Formats: sequence, C-alpha cells, structure tokens
Amino acid sequence: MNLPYSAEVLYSFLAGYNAALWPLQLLAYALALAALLLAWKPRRWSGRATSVALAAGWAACGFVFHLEHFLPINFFAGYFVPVFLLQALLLFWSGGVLGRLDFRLRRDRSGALALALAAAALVLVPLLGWLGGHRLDGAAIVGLAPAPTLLFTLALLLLSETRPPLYLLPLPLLAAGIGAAEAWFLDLPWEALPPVLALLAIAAIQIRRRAAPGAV
Amino acid sequence: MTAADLSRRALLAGAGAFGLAATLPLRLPRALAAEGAHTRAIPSTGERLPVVGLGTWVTFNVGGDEELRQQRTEVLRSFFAEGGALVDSSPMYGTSPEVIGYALARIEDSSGLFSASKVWTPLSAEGAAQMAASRGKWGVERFDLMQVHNLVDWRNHLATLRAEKAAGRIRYIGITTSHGRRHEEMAEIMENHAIDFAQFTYNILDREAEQRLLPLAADKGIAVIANRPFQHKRLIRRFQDAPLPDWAGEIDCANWPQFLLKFIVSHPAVTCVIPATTQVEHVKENMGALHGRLPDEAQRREMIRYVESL
Repeated sequence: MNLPYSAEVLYSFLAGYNAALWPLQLLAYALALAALLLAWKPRRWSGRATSVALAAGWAACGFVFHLEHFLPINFFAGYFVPVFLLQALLLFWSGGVLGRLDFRLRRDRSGALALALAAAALVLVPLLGWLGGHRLDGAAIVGLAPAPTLLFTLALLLLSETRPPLYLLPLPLLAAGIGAAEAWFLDLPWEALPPVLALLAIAAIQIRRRAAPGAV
Repeated sequence: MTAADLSRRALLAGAGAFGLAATLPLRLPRALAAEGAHTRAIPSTGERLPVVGLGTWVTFNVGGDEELRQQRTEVLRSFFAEGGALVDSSPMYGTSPEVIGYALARIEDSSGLFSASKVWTPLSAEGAAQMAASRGKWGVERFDLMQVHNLVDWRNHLATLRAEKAAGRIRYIGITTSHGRRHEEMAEIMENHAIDFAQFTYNILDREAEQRLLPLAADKGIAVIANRPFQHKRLIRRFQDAPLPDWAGEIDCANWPQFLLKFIVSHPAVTCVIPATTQVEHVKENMGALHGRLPDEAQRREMIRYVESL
C-alpha cells in the first residue's frame, strides 16, 4: 500500500497550511505555555480551562487540519476527522464539563517525563522535518497539527492529579498508530518519534492511573 | 509504421489542407509521427496508442505548491515531446487531476493527449457529477477513456458510463483494479460486459494476469492498461545496482526502466503501460521503451529468469 502523497508534498502541504493559518501559531503556543504555567501554579478553574484548550486543539486538528486542508491531498484524512473530533468531545466533556481533570506539575519522575514530552511537542516535533532534510516552514505546530497536539495532550494527562478517565486513551493510541503508519509508508524514520513517545506516554499514564486516586 | 498510421496521417494531412483539421473528432498523438515508435491498436476501434503512457498516482498530487506544479508541468511537457499520449488519473489521486489541468493549460501543444480518468465514488448517483468535476479539473470537454476505479459499484457506474459515452462525453469505457486484487470479478466483467479497456497490475514479477486476464482481453478484444510497472519504485530500487544482462542490447534496453517496461509492452495483449514519475530524466528513460526492438517470447522468458536470479 502507498499513501497518495510523497514526503516532499507532506512538508510542502504543512508549509502552505502554516502560511494559511498564520498568526494562529502564536496563539497556539501562548495557550500551550499558559497550560504549562497553570499546571505549575494551578488555579481553581485551571483544570477546566486547560481541558477546553486541549479539546480546541483536537477539534482544530479534525476540522481545520484534516477536513479543510489535508483532505484534498489525502482521501484517508476523511477517516481521521471523527477520531480527532471525538477526542475533542471527550476532553471537553470529562475536563471542561465534569471537571475530572486537574493538572499539576509534580517533582517526580512522571512530572519530569511530562515536561520532557511537552518540550518535545513544542520544540522537537516541529523541527523533525527540518532535521530530516526537509523545509523548516513545514513545521507541525501544537494545537494545529496532529503529532504535537497528541504529545502535548498526553504530557498534560500525565500531570493529572486524579486518574484520567480510561476513555481518553484509545483515540490518542489510534492517532499514534496513524502517525506511525504515515512515517512507515513515507519512509520518514524521524516522524516515528512522536508515535513512539506517545506510546511511552500512554504506558506511563496507565501506570499512574493505577497509583493515582479518583478512579473513573 | 503501420498501414493504420499511414491512413490516419494521410487523412489528417488531407483534412489540414482543407482547413478541417480542427474539426476532426479523433486527435492524432504525435507519437504516431515518431519514426519506429511502438503503438498498439485499441481493439474496439483500431485507433492506435503509443505503448508507454503516464500514471499520476502520488506523483502529480502536489497540492497548491507552485514550484512543484511547475516541475510536474515539465514532466508532462517532456512526456508529450517524447511521443506520449495516454495520461491516467483518478479523483482518488488527490490534487493530481487539477495539477494535470494546470500543466495542460501551460503546455503549448497538448493535442496528442489521450485523457484517461476514473469514476470513484460508492454512490453511483454521484458518478456523473464526479466526471463533470474531473472534466473541469483537467480542462477538457470530454475524456477519451473513463474507467470504474477499483470496480467500485461497477454495475451502476458502467450504466452511467454508457450513458456518458452515448452523450459524447466519453469515447471509451473501462474498469480498473491493481495489486492483483479481485481478478476473478474483473474476469467476470470482461467476459460478460461490453467494455473497451481493462486496467490491472502487470509487471515482470507480478505476472498473475498472464493466466486469465491477458488472454481474456485478447480474446474479447479489450485494450489493456498495465499499472504498477515498477511496483511503485520497488523494482527500480531492487535492481538498479545490478547490471543489465549482456544481451539487453539485443532488445535495445539502455537502462532498467526500459528493460522492465519492454517486458510489459512486449506481451501482445498489452496496449499501454503507465509508469509514473516526478522527473523529466525519468520520463526520457521510460519513453525509450517506445523505440527499438522488443523481446520475443524466448527473450521474455530469459528476462524473467534473469531478474529472478538477482
């Protein structure tokens, strides 16, 4: 099986996508940094606010990235839209409506791992294509493109004080599978890093779920 | 040069002399004028096609990138200059149809084009609208060939295609599959339904079609388009570091693409093969298979033995 586009076209598409959305990237980074700041110094409302921001990121990946922009190049993108929209709905419902997600940066191994994953989502993942020899303006940006959004979401779920609901994990796992398949079919080994990190994060979240209070 | 070529040439020359060339219903691929270029007749009409066409899966799906669109325009320009005619695409190929249209609009003379597209929707009611959209993207008034892609809802789509053919918006109709899938169903359609073209995978390593589909096409008078001639680059990557056999010169093969393509087009039931590429250099290599000697049956067996020994 082959994907209907090449690696060259993927990064060209991302460059065009970034140009079309500019300067939303600044807002996306501001929201991501605000989410980390709120995890460092939580407020009463910060769990709900961060959940809504994460849900917005997944919704943007579904509607804006896949449906509006990527679908003309990749017919498979149509199948990915519900994956991202459903995860947006689940994050909005569990964190934004029910308030079951509270994010707090801890000084332990899972806190360090979460910070490393967030840093990867914000800094390393956007540079992967460029490090692999492709164009820098084809960077994947958190909240607007799937891979960094996936990693950043998992980083925050790792910071959840109570057990994150189990139903928040299958769709990120599926999204990681989609990313891994793309890396495989386009022969882009560096693009396998986000899915691998996502699997690591999901495993760490599952370990924390067993130890954390607030079974759901 | 065949008698058919000469008669069409003479017809066009005569028509041109009377200022009628623009009104002719059939366009004349420039390849027919290329000395010694291999062409094959479409059995249902006798119209001849150059045996090497151009596929656009992946390669022409470049989105809105202006630089990449320009590069693909050069690929298509080179294809026509080398004597090519049949360009194959599909709505499934993303932006390929509109990139073809972009290129055709910028190529000074694309009169040799033999346009081949597909209908690809599970909703047969959308078929006519999808074909109209494809005409708009290509910038053509009609398609030379319209195929049912991957046999999707083929019964209903074939009915639509026949109606479109009757209305003059299609000249030939066909069906496609690839990767060796659904050959039984394809054979059943070829056996029992009136179609002009069948497209399926055939290359030096994927030879299942020799068992049933190719003999059936010859028997039923159906033109054959061979797709995946290089298994999407895999065969080139696999063989490119190996030397061509000493006797490659006997069939006028200067490189591996020509060797692999000549194997395909030397099968008497194959009408056209559709390699895809993003590079002008590769177009020139591929189009080399239009010229020179083709292998006979014994040489074809030797070609198989050689690649299987690598």
